[in-house]
Amino acid sequence: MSKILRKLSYLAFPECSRQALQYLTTCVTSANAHDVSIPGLDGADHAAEVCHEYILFNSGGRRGGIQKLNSIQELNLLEMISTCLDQAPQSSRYRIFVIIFGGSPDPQKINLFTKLVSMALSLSVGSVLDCAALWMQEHGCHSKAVCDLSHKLVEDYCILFTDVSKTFQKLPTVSALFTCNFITAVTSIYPFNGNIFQRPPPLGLLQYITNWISSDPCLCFESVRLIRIQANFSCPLSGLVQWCILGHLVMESRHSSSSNFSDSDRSKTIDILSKLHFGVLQSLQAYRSMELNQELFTMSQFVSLSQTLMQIVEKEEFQNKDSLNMLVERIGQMIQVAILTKSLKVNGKFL
Amino acid sequence: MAAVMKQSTGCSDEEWLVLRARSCMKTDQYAAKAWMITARSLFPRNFTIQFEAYTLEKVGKNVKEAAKLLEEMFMVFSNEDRLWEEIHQILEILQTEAMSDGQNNFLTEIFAEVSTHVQCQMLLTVAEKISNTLEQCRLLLLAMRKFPNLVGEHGLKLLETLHAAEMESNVQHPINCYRKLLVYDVLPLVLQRQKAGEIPPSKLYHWLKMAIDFYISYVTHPPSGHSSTVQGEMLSPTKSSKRQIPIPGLFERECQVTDPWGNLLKTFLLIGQHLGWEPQQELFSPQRETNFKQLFTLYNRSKQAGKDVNLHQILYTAVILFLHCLFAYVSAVDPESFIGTNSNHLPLVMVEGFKQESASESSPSKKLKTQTDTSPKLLATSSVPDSQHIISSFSTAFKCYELLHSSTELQREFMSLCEMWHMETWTWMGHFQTDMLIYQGAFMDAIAHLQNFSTANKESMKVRSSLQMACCFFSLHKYMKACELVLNVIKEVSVQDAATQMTNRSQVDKSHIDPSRRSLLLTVCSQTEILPYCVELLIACYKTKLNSAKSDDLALGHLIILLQYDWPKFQHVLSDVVQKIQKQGSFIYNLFFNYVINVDILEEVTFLKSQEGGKINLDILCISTKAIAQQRAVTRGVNKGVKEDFKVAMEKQVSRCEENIDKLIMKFLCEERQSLLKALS
Repeated sequence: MSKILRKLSYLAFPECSRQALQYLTTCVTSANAHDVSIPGLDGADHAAEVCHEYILFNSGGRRGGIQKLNSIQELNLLEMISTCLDQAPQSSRYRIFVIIFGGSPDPQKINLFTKLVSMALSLSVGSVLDCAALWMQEHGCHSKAVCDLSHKLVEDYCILFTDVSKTFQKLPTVSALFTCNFITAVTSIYPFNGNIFQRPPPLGLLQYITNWISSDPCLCFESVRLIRIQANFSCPLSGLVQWCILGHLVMESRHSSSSNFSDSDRSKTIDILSKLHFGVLQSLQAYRSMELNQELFTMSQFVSLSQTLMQIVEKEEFQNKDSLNMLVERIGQMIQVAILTKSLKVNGKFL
Repeated sequence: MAAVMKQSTGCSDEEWLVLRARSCMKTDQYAAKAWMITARSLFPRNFTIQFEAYTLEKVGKNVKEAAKLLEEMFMVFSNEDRLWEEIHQILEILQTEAMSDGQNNFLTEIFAEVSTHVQCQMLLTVAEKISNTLEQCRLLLLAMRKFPNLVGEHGLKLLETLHAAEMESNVQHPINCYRKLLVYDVLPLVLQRQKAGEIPPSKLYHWLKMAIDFYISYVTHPPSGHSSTVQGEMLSPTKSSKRQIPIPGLFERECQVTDPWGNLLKTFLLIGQHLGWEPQQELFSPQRETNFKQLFTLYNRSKQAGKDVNLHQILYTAVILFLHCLFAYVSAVDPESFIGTNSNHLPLVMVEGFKQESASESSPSKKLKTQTDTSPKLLATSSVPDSQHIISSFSTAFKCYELLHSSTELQREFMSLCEMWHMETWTWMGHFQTDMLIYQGAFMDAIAHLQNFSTANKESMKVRSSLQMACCFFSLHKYMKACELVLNVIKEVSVQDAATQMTNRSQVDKSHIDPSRRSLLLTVCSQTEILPYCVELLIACYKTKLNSAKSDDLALGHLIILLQYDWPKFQHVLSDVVQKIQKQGSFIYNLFFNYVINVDILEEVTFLKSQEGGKINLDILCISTKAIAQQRAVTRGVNKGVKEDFKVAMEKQVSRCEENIDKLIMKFLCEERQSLLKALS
């Protein structure tokens, strides 16, 4: 057994985890400093083990450690992790994060991670949220793990407490990347396409997102910005476009999936969606000046959107011609602005 | 996409898009804005659409967005007239606000949101486009106020433009729109921003002259109705006291010149700094003597150096100090002379004072010759408000005036300034000139000046000028002329002050004065203040008759009546009179019982009749004893009857002793005019 593991085995809970985190930080920062890592020889192996036993407490008490933390202890632990990440140098922050939460997503790890993010959100710890955002990006914003995390946050901040949350409101200023990826995941959780098994997004959430996007037209491209260092990116705009079009339709046609919406909530939602549509166009305008030159949409997306629109119209026997015209115009406006801002490439055949 | 959206409405694509946006505006402003974004993406170089988008944001009161669009339009569509109209409108409102600190207009909020660089460009470009010089100058001024960095580039140019515009417009009066902007608004900015030594001195002198001319004309502007036409608003009681002179060509808000003296001093100090002087910061402080002393030190030093190095500094310091003192003095003397000055007291008058000694063997003019080295002492009655300041203002103005005439160089420079400012037209200076001549003892000149000046004089200043002339004639021993003028004054004030009788007669503190020194008296032109002086002057006139060998009972009688005034102030004169009567042995004066009610005097006169008194033959009953004698037609017992009459008359007079002596004297002076003059002929 390595020195560190032996040392930690004598310590009781808060202290053992604190020292474990310290050890992790030293491992990562010193590795960073020398920029050498010899597999099998360096401390990383121990790091994984230390993390496994004294942060995630996964050993099941194999070495006489604590089997399971109670809620208070867990909160203590989360606080320690959060502080550790926040105080770690920026270059090694994500590496520490990966050692703790990377690898196979076992439920206990995901559970702890979700709680950490929720806590970081309520305390506005930007560094932790930035790590979470990168993690989301690596997993893909539409992946189940990320959607689960996002769903949990929506529950915590939009459904459990419907009052306006100040911390949630200013989320973009705490971590823009996290906000961006969160929105992407949310559009995946709530497609707002009239599917009976999927609820429409909560009104509060819709309001938050619309306000975020309206006040910062570059917010949606935080993930795109990272294209130089990240393999992939995600952009919430496709999902939001769908909301603007299909959401409006769902709200106007007494669709079963929105049956729990009151009339005032419906008209409120419709108003917000108009603002969101404008926000999307504004964002697209801003995108051009950012010169990121990535395609954000494909024409087939718009084609399938239009098809879904027509399906719902037929299914619901939607009568309001003016609204339908308006939605078609919206699609048209979005395509026009998207083409102009080079976020949508079209071949000559379509034109 | 344009093809998709275009409908067969018969209008162009752009128009259709604009219409779409407008139609959405009422129900859903976001939809309208979405349309505008689409329209702008379709027609990025279309002004109509861009302007519509701007209008939309303006209507929606979105300051930031509107500002952004305005800025964009300014960059891209610099040739569009509608854009210029809009910017011009914004700038006009901006100017209005700069003047009045009212609530912010929405348009100016938009302007404030535009980036500083573009703001600056907008102002300059609009200013460039305007053909009206005045408008152009206003905008440039606004630009320089907002962006002081522009002063370096545009300040001097703007001053030149304004100067040229004033010359071109051919206005004679210094209070004109160009001058006001130049002197009051632009000049301080330029002087503050420009570094010393960057501006040629000739220009600085020129501006200083313009500034002095402007501010002096401004503060000495006569009240409306006097020279300018009476306007309805000026007549309203709320506005009458406000110092606001309408300047043709400027808006009402622009005409405001706050603290003209303070601004003149500021300009003087700034220009002084540019010229490398060490200007006197406290030049307008109430410590006039100190200020003059500093100036005089500078003058002496430069005289010793024997060069003209400080000539201009001395000249301008003296001129400005002179004008400030002059203004303070004249506005105290003639409170109604200038618009906006405090006119709640009567005019003041400066007259020759009397010697304290009872005998006046030598005339004042003779004394003056022996006393040329010491200047006369100025005194004020206690009714004169803030008298020390008024007196020091006068004497400092006088000293400055002397200084300005003390060397040929200074005199020449000063004369050229006078000529440039048309000082001969400054009628308000007349009061000072009169007082200065009296102060110098040049009574002939003073009379000539008063006579010249009186035609232009206002009703309220008549008393003042008559009284001054009287004192001048008296000093020149022209007693009858002096008396005539005094009687005129008395007549004038008896009417004027009939309603407002003051209770207490104010006093002059003469305790510290060398009695042999010449003194001048400053007092208020009211009956209560002037009457003592008039009486004293008349007493002095009639007293001269005491010394003449021939008997003159009329003069003696008038003197006795006058002596009652302010009894026992002139008690010492009475003994001279009594002696004279005793010497004569008889005294005939029929007005005696009409006007003498003073018990002491009655007693003294009764005593004259007695054995001890010299058994003087007194014929002082209203109807002469001779006449009574003729009436009775008997010679015996005549005297007895007379004796009885005399006794009764005396007793009657004693019973009148409580009567108001001031009124009695006034009555005497008004009703016995002929007799009073006759006694002095």
